[in-house]
Amino acid sequence: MPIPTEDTDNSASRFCKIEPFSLQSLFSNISNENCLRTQNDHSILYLYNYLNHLNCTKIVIEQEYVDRDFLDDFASYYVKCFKEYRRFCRRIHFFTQLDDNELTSYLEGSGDPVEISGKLNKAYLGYLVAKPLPKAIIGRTVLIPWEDTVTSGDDVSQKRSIRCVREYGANLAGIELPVEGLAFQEQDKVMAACATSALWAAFQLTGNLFGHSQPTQSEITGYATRFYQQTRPVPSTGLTTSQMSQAVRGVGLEPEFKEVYSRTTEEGSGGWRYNIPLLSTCYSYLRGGIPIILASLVKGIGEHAVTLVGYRLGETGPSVSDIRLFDSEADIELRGSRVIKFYAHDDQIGPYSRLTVQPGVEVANVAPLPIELGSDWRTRLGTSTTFVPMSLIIPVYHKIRVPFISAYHLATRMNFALIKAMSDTPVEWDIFISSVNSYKKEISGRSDIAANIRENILCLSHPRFLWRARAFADDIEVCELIVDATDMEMSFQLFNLNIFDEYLLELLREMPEDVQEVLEEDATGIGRFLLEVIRKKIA
Amino acid sequence: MKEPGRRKGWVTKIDKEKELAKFKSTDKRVKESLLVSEESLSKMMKV
Repeated sequence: MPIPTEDTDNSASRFCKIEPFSLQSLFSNISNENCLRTQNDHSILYLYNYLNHLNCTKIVIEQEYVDRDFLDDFASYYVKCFKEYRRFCRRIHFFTQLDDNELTSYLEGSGDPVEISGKLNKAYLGYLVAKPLPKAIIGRTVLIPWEDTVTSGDDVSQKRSIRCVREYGANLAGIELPVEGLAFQEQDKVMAACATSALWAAFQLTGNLFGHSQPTQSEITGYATRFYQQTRPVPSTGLTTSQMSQAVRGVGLEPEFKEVYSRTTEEGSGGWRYNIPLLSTCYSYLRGGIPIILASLVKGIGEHAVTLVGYRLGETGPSVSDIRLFDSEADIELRGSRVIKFYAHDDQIGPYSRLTVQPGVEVANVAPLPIELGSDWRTRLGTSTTFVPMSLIIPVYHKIRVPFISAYHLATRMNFALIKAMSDTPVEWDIFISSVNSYKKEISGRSDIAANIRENILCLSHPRFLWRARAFADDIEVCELIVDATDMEMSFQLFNLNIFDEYLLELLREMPEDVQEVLEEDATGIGRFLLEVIRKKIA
Repeated sequence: MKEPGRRKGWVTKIDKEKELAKFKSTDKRVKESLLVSEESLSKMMKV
């Protein structure tokens, strides 16, 4: 017996139908009778191509789906319009393969539920909620990242690394379908602008990570416009960076605000200053699974916000070194500087969309800046354009008080000792935020660490959040600085130093006088305190 | 593990003043980075 369709008078017809996956079937099920979009719309094509790459062959459509987020927007706005909008959405599930007859048998009670559940789970790619609106039809969408993506453990050069993912639980006719991804949805320009959509996606993850409630888009607009709003907040015309920071505080987190470029009158600066090492800073939070809101100027178009959820490291990194641009005297190498691409939830493109790190180019008479991000965006004339990264808002738990740059500061002193000690070996630092649980979990799974160090790490009481600054010499992890992320700026934040390499330990025991003197005479005091820690470790 | 003998060992001479100047340059950039400029370029952004 075939699966019920909309045309049959079967009660199951109100529930779901199965169709082969194609651009036409995708669009016809996402759209509705009032839809103003076409199947050649950029974001529809993006979704189609994304799912095609995942080898999607079948879709299952739940005809009447109540979506929490849309229901909240509906109750706040759409229900009060004279024109009638539906409150039910459709939910479309995507599968690599699906036997229509098996699902029918299951619904009729003649199939083996365990067997079909196992098959569906294996083939499941995620779901999309289609909103019954004229334009913003793509609601909560959770899709798995493409295969060959690193989601935990160490990175691999040239592979996507998307760590800002969590598990979502879908349920199709009683069959549980867990999916690991990060929810995405479009702005509707009523309850949400791009900033709201970007915050919504970030809160989907931080809610799980830091334990706060996950607000709907209308709740986010409420948090953001509670104190400062010149014009009416709804329909939404966008949020300022201050309002976005206010929304972060609204869910109980703290906004770590970083401006990428700032004005300066310093001679030879060209009027601007590169205020943070952008790539390494983003890497340090994304590697720890914390999403970042990136506010940018899209040349020739306007201002836009996206949620950064991942990155890709190259073998050598982009042609412009972010760390040298930030600090021309620095002789430290950072793994984060090798980021060649970011992956972002961009509500105008789609989930996990690509931003390529590149030197600036002049577009629409906007002068180039040293680091810009190439995108899939096109100007009104159809030419490609770039994002000029303007600011980052990183939603962090209130106890994460020490920023990346302080961990970097500490690492520069240890780097000085390392590069002098191992004079012919390139040293690279991998600096990222971590929770103590993630840190100990990783250490517990490693067999390359000496028993005494391993025991010390696993049994020592650590701060809840820490910066790990891991030094690699010729790809061998030689030592690690553990920086207390809950400490304060005006302090020596080093919590622990683990020296993994026996040869480095021997070298440090023979540290020359002039190296010790440089560390002792460091005006910040970091060098002197670090030297004391080293002396204790080599004793 | 690679043979530790591959690594040459300590450099023979260090220019103390130059190294301390590098530290100072980094300190200055870190300090500037920790300040959020009042002349923020993105202050008036609306996204």
